[in-house]
Amino acid sequence: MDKDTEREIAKGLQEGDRSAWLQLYEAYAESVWQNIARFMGYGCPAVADVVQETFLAAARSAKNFDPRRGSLWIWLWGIGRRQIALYYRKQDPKIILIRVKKWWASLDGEKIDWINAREDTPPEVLEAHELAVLVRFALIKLPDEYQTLLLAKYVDGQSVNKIAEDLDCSPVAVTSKLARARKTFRRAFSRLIQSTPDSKEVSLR
Amino acid sequence: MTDNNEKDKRFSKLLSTVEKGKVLPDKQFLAQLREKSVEEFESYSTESKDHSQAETVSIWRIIMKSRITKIATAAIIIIAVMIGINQFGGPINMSSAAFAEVVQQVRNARTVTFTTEVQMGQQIMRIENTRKEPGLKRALMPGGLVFISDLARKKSISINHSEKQYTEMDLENAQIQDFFEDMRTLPDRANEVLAKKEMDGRIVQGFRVIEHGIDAICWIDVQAGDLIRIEGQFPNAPNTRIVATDFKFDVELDDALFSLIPPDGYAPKEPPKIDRSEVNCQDLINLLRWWATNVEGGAFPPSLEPAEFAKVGSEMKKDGKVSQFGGTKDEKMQQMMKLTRGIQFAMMMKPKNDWHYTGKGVELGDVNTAICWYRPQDSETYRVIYGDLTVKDVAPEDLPE
Repeated sequence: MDKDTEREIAKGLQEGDRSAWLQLYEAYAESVWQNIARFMGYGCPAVADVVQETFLAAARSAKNFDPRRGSLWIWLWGIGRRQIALYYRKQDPKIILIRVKKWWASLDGEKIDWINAREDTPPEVLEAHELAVLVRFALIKLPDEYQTLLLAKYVDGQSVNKIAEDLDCSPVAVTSKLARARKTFRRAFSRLIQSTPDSKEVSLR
Repeated sequence: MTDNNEKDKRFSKLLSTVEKGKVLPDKQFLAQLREKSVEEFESYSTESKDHSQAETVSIWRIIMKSRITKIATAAIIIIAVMIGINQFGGPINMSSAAFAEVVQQVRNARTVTFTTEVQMGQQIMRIENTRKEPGLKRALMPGGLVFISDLARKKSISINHSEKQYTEMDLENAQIQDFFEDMRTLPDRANEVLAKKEMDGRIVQGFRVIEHGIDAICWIDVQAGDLIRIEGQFPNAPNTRIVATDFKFDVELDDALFSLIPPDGYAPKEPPKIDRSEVNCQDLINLLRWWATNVEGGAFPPSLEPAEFAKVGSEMKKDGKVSQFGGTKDEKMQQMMKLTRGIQFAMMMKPKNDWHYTGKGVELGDVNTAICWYRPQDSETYRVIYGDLTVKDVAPEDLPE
């Protein structure tokens, strides 16, 4: 979304303009759905509920949108993340985590090198549902900005320049933040697989 | 390919596992949500600014899942500030990197304990709060009153140890909204970062967040990443303030703390009756009559604008110009709830209702002076309330000037 359109929508939202809301919805509905499905799993039946809660919560607070706190997407996805966290908080993920951690422990190979991208992760590991669960759990633990950056760059395949444009910062800043985001992700992943089942690191909370 | 590119490719393969089982969004669902969300957006956007400010101000524990009852909670706080009653039998709710991390911690905590001090006018109530997911809550209030709720089972119990009584309540179709739940939905970025200062021997930094009408400052020990204190204020209830401290996250909590089984030998007590019928013009008339006969001066309130009404009311109360409610605690609360419906009615007025209030200085019994008027939904005439509290429907051209 270009800057002028973004400004126009933001102004419209603050003024309670129906067409501004519709413009925002059309622009981001599918992206929100897709991102929520990424974090919950495409097959999770609760995805629709969380998408709905996200947009209804956004609709209720849209007129208070403050562009100084970030772009429309950052704002909207922040609400989406909160709804995902609320959903997970009401679940008990320990059972799932115990299972996927056992699976991870059973794997042979230099697993730490897979996470640090020093070695290729074997195709059968990449195909495993359990790995997707671990990656999701690690991503959920990251701050909004890191999540957004990692998904844009490594899942959506966006260029650094495009991300910089979307986030209104320089490509150098994006490169630097991406390095920190990768490091934080690896740390989160490592903590997840190293923690004991009952410790607070394990639970999604 | 350079080493970095190779690493990027591997990292991309790892992260892309979240795309496993990818399917396209459900277009039909999104189309339905489009309509639903635009309705929600319009509903919230057509309220006046002052009205929306009150939406998440929460005091009464049981709040139905609707915009109207959220307004009701704000109305309660306004009346409560004015009357000076704090016998709710339950908790009064309020609803940069370090800040973002703390927000994450608050958002994701599976257990938490903390203390809140709620100040309403001159009165302060201290509450010890204990939470455990999914949906278990316990609040210990002054006088040994304990309120426990289990949202998953939609049940709650309040136990009055001093009177050896308990009250069970059904939370079906209701939700418990409170200060900590409001904090769970804080955005990752603060509106304003305040200067550092010392608090209880620690250097803390303030992060101010204004969200849904609650003005909150989170004081964080940035170095340790600990949440130290949250201070919340309500623009629509100027004399009300909440301070939360002593946060402990993810501590072990025994499920027995959240037992809904009453203690042996305690007597059951009926829950307070809450009138859940739609508020109407008569509720406003009841409030106006009460004000004119119980607040010194014999005239109607100078304003029904929520903040102004609360301000004037609490000043009158402070100056001893408001008659005390009579009766038992329960009867007092019933009276308060009844008055709440009056201010709630005024707060629900939307621009399309063309609401006017001109009661300032008008005395009860003045048959010739209109004190307020509005256009009911889908009506071509206006409803006018006069100083003697009679009501007439009049054509727009016959409205008072």
